[in-house]
Amino acid sequence: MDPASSAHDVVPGPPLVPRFGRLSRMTVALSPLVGDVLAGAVAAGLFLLAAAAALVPRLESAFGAPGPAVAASVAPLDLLPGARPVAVHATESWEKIPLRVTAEDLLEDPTLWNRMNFDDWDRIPDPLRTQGLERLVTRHGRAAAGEAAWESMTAADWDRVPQPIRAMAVILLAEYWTAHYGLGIGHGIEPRVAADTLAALLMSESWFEHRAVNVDINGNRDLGLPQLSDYARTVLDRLHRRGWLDFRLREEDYFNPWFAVLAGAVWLDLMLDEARGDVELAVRAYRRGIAAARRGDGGPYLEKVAERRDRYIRGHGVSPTWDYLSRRLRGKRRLPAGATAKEGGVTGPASAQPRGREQETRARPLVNAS
Amino acid sequence: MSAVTGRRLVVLRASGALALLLALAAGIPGLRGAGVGARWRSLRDRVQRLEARYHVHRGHEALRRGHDRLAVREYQAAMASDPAQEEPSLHLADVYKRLADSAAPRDPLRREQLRRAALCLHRAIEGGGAPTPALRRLVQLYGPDGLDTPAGMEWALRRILQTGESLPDESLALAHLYDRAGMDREAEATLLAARRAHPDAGAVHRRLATFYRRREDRRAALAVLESWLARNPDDREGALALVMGLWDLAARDHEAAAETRTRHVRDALGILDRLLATGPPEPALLLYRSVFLRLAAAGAEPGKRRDELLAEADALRQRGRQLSRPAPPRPPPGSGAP
Repeated sequence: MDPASSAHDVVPGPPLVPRFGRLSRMTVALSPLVGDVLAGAVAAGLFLLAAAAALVPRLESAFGAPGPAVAASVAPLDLLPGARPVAVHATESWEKIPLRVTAEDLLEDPTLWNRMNFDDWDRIPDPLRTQGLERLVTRHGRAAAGEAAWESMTAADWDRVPQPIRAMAVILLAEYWTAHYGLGIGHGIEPRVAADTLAALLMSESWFEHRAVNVDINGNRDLGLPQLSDYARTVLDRLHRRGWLDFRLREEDYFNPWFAVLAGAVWLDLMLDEARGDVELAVRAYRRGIAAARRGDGGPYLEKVAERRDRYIRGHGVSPTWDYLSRRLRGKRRLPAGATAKEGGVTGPASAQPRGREQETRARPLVNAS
Repeated sequence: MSAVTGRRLVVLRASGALALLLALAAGIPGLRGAGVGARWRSLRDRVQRLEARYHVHRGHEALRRGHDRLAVREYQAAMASDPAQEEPSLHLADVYKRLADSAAPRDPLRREQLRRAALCLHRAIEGGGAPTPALRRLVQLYGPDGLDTPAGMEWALRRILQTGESLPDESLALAHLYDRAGMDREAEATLLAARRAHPDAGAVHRRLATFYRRREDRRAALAVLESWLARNPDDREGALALVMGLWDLAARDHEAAAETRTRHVRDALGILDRLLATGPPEPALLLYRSVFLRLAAAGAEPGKRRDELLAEADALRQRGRQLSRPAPPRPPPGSGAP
C-alpha cells in the first residue's frame, strides 16, 4: 500500500467521533489494544476482589483464634475491703454466739457493737480491731467524757453504749465519785487505791452490765452495776431520810451508771467505815456483810476483786482491746496517787447535788449499820 | 498490524477473558444483588477488621512468648486499625494491668500503667459495643487495690446499672460506696432500686435491712426482713438476722411493754424452731434458741413449765457450744478480758 494514498484515504473521511477531536481519533486508532488492556485490568481487579473476598473469611478465621483469656472481672463487692466477711462472736445473755458479718458491719453497725464485749473484740485481727474501736470511741466516747455528759445520760442512753466503752466509763465514774466523796480518805486510804478497788468491785459484781439484775432464791434482787441488794438500797434510803446522805435513788436509778456507781461508792465507804479502814475486810463485807466478813467469809471474792484490780484496772497487756480503750479514754484522766476530793476538782451532779458543803453532807461513818 | 502484535492481542484477550471467568467462578457473593459501592465499603471494613485481628493475633503471640511490650504495640496497632473493636482495648488494658501488678506498690509507674489500662477500657466503652465487660473491669481498676478512686468506681457502677445487665452485687457495691461516703439518701435509693430490679436476691434485702439497722431504725430493718422472709422462708441468713433483731427488741428494749417483749420472744422461737427443723443445727441457731428460752423462762411463773424451759435451754447451750468449739480461733494468750 502506498503511504501517501493511504494518508489521503484517511484525511478526507468524516470523523468517527467528531466531538472529541484528535484524542478520540487516537483512542479509536488504539481501541483494540486499549479495550483489551482495560478488560484485562478490570478482570484482574475483579479477580483480586473476588480472591480477597474469598480469602478474608479464611484469614478472619485464621486470625480469630482465641487469644489469652481476658482477665475475668472480680465481683465488685469482693474488691471492697468493707464487704469482706469476718468471723466474730457476739455476747448475748453471757452466751458467746459465733456469727459471720462483714468488716463494714464491724465498723458501722451499732447493733453489732452492742453485742460485743472486750473478749469478742480481742478476737478481731488488727488493724480492723483498731479501726472498729476507734469508731466506737468516736461514736460513744461521750460516755467517758466526764460529769457534764454523765449527768445528762439516762439509763436508756447507756443501753446504746457498747460494753467496752461502758467499762471505761464506769472506771472513770469510780474515780469521779471516789474523788467527789473522798472515799476512804477518812481512813487514810489513798484515792487511787480506793478508786481502783471500787472499779474492780463493780467489775466483779456486774461485769459492767448496768442492767444486771440478780434474783436470789428468796426473791431478793441485786440491781445494777454495784449489785446493791434490797437491804443495801433500803439502808441508803434510810440514810437519806436521816439527812446523812445528799441523794436518794429510785429503783430505776440503779440502772443508770451515773447514780449506780455513786451508790456503790457510798456503800463501799460504809463498809470501809465498818471495817475501820481495812480495805480487804471492806471488800469481803461488801459481798457477805460485815458480820460474815469478820467471821472470815468472802475470801474467794476478795481474791477475784484483787486479781481484777491488778490485771485490768491497773494492769495492761491483758487484752489488746482493754489496753487500746484504756489508753484512748483513761489515759489523761488517771487519778493521781494521793489526790483528794479538792484536788480532784469535781462538783456534784445537779440531781445529787449536796445541799450544804460537800464534805459535810457526804456519807458519815455508820457503826453497826449492817 | 504485524503478526506478532496480533498474537499478543490474542493472548491478552484470552488472558483477560480467563481472568474474567475466574473472577466470575470465584463468585463474589457480595456482588450478587447488592450495590457494588456498598459491598466495596463492606469489604474494606472487613479488611480493616482483618488487619486489626492480625495485630491482635500477633499481640496474643507476643504475650504467649512473654513479650509484653511487643504485645502492647500490636494491640495499639489493632486499635488504630479498627477503633470500634473492643477486644484489643480489653487485651491492652490487661497487659497494662499486668505490668502495673508487676511493679512495686509505690512505684509511680504502677499508677501510670493502671491509668493507661483505665483509658483503654474507657475507649472500649466508648466504642459503642457491649460496654458491660469493660465497665466491670473498670470497676476493678478504680477499686481500692487499683487506682483507689471511688468516684471512678461509682461512675462505672452507675453505667453498669444503666445497661440493665447489672448483677445484685453491683448495686450493693454502689450502695456500699455511697454508704462509706456518708451519702445515706443515695445509698438507700440504690438499695431500694436494687430490690425492685432483683426482687429474688436475698443479699439485697438483707443489705437493705442492714442499712436501716446501722441507722438504728430497728423497725424498718425488721419490716424489710419480715416481708422478704414471708416470700422466702428458706433464707437462713435472713432469718438469723431477723432473730437477732427480735433479740434486740426483746432483751434490750427496756422501755417496751412486757407483752410486746413476750411476743418478740415467741416470734423468734417460732423462726428458730423452723430453721432447726429444716436445716443443720448451726451453733448460732442453737445458742440463740437457748438464750430466747431463758428469756421466756424469766417471764414465766416458777413451776414445771419454767423448769422445762431452763432444762431445754441448758441442753441447747451445751450442744451449741460443742458445735461451735472447733470453729472459733483461740484468743491470744493472756486475753481474758470481760
